[in-house]
Amino acid sequence: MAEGLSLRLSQTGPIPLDVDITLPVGQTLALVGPSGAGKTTILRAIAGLYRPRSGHIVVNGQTWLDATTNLAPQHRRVGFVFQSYGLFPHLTAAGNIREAMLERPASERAGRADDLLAQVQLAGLGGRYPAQLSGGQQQRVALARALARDPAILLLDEPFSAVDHPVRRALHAIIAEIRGASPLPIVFVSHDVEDAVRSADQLCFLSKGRSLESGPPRTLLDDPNTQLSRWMNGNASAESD
Amino acid sequence: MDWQALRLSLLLAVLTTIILVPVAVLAGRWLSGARFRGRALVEAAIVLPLLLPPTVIGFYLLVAMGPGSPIGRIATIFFGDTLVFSFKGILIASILVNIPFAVQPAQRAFDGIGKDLRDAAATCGHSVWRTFWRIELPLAWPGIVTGAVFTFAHTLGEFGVVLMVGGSIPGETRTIALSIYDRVQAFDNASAGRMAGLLMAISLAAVAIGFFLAGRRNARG
Repeated sequence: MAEGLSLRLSQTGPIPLDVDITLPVGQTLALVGPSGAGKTTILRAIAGLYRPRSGHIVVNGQTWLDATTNLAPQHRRVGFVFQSYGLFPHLTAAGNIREAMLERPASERAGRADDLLAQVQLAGLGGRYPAQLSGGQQQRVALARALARDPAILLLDEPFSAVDHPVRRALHAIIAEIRGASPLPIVFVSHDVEDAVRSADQLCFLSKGRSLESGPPRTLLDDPNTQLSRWMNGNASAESD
Repeated sequence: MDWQALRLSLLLAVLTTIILVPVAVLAGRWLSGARFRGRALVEAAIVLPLLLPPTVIGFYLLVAMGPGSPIGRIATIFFGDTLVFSFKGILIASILVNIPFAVQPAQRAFDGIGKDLRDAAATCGHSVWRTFWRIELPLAWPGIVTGAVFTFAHTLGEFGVVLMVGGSIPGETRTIALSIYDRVQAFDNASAGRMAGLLMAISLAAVAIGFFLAGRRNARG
């Protein structure tokens, strides 16, 4: 596959990984699974923040990782929204976004930052510091910053976990808008299947570092024999106990 | 009032701070990120000047910089004299004694920067050096300022090491702390009191200004 993400990661330890993912441009993949399934590790491996023992990562035809290549994070064109957002607290929202525009002429950065803030519905708040923003607003600044580098792939670590329902709805809408506006492969981590159903074209169900099954979220959920369905039912019965 | 001693103390404190702070920033950053065998020993060595009596540190420095030592011989080639009983000697001693005051706050400040911020900078395309200049240094600034202020104030008040290494030569090694001691020995309490009060006021002002600057950065961050 020339365009999109082609990933294969394999190692027995220290974090076991046995994952195979193919994701075309314009599609969104949800990595779903229980805690410790290796979801965040996979995102970090794509970004170059974690080096697996073996495997390959190819994005839009460019090899980022294989037996002889391991591009540094600086040279992988990723947009990464961290679970803790990772905003630079000493810089304003606009300043945070401009930090990801090193390859853009300085004269264009301020205007582009304003455009991105508007895209994530934070127009006019560019002068605020992260501490002056709510959690949901901080997350959207992080999303705008992730987009500022014109990434080849967008990675979001648990974007829906720490936000309340209205913010969650708004975030789903923003992700839908990004999907419409930018032909990107998007990968997000979630422990909630409902988020995958709402925002993902594909779902990869992981356990202990292994991808057990993948496919359209609704298809996997509607089949009672899938491991995802069994895990969901197990969770539901555990919650009702 | 021994103005000459006050000028010498201020010069010693300023030079010690200017020389030590960049070293402390680099050492603090390195110690914050480095994982290596013997790290505990390095950190213990940095703290050691806080724990040892000034006379012990002063004795070792006196021996290390004396005319019979390799350092003393090299200093004689370059400066025409050994380093003991000279301003250069007490400057070196002051820098060594103040290492924990400068390095520890800087290291703690770098320790406080979350890994996510460094990772975020990398995914923004920042090189290690750009991350250091644009992200880590501004965030560690309050700790660095605190270390600089402690170094300055502690140098102003340093007594034992300066006396051991430099003696008390007027205009060369007699700092205001030594001058106060001399005045007390001469039963000139009025003069000693004036100098002690001035030294305390300068130290208090330096620390207050430092805390104000560090606090302003913290409030914004």
